[in-house]
Amino acid sequence: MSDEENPLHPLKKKAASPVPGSFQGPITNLINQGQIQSLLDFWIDERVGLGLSEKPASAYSSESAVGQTQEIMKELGFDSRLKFDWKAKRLKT
Amino acid sequence: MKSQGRQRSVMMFWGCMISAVEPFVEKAARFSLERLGVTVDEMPDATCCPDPEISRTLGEEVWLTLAGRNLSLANKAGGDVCVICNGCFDTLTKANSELTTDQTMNQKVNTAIAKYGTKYDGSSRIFHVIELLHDIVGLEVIKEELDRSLSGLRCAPQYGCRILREDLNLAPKFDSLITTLGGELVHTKTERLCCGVPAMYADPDFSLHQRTEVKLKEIKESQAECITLFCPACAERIERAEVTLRKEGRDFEIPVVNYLELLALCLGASSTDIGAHLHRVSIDPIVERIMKAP
Repeated sequence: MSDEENPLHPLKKKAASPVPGSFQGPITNLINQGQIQSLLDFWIDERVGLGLSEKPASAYSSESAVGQTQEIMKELGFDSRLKFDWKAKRLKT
Repeated sequence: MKSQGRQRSVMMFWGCMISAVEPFVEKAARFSLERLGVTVDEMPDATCCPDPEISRTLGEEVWLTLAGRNLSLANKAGGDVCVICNGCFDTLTKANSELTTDQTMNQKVNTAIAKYGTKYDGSSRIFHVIELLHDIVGLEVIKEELDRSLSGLRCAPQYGCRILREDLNLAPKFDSLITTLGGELVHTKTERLCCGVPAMYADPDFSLHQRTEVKLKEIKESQAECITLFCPACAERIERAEVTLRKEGRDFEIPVVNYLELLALCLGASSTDIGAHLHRVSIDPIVERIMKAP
């Protein structure tokens, strides 16, 4: 019996996410930030050290761009199809 | 593309990888383009292209709508879009083509983005930075501006699969850009083999050992001094693989350098200017070689 199986409720299973595990991080970033790659503090510091803007001129610094992306995703049902939890800001797994 | 004499301006679509994990490429690009008379205009409301692997696989319509929205920003500003990342190039050129030919999707996308005051009209050209440098700036102008040369540096080109469409003819142009800087091309049998990025999501072990390591082995045997590329995803993949393989006892230590970094160094930038220290696999031997070159 695997760890996930419940002896009292043998038919009860964890709901599997429709998103493969390796896609979950990037797609969560895309929904939350409008970019699949997170901008970490380390790289923000390095950007400044190189004389670049702290955050690039894109969704990394534009709230309206992120807002529009999220609206489009909601209108097309992308979020519900992937079971995205807007409150927790992550995919339901 | 707006031009006045040698002076040009271009809307740069940086994408997420260069901005977030390879800012040294952004710095090298800005330095080089400025030296070559190209002004970079920003796209402040651009989002992820979105990426052709994950986003497109999970939702074709969202992928096309977000790409159409990005393109509409350039249409509105009346500019052409220049892209460094092969993934962004693939997404934006394919979305542009689909939205031009599929009127149903065109209407759907335009309905979705209309409330933001933008409209996709297909008026912007999308070109890879290879095309900008090779076709628009021109090899002669690049040559005239060089302060240093690669003086025979043995470069193994990593084209990246998304620019290998025959109709684009980008690989030979990439080769010419390397030789223009004085680099020696080292061709290998696996140079057109995928770096391993798409397979990484499905089978990391296969991706590492059957794709990236195979390439690294052949490049090492060819005695190339560096791998030269444009695609930030290929760069990230190959550098990370070298670090992982080092832990497994296979030390390749082949510097992975973006062409724009080589160009910036040849145009007079110092290694500090372009953040050469930020590579996972040191590119110091390459930098020293370029600095000492006549």
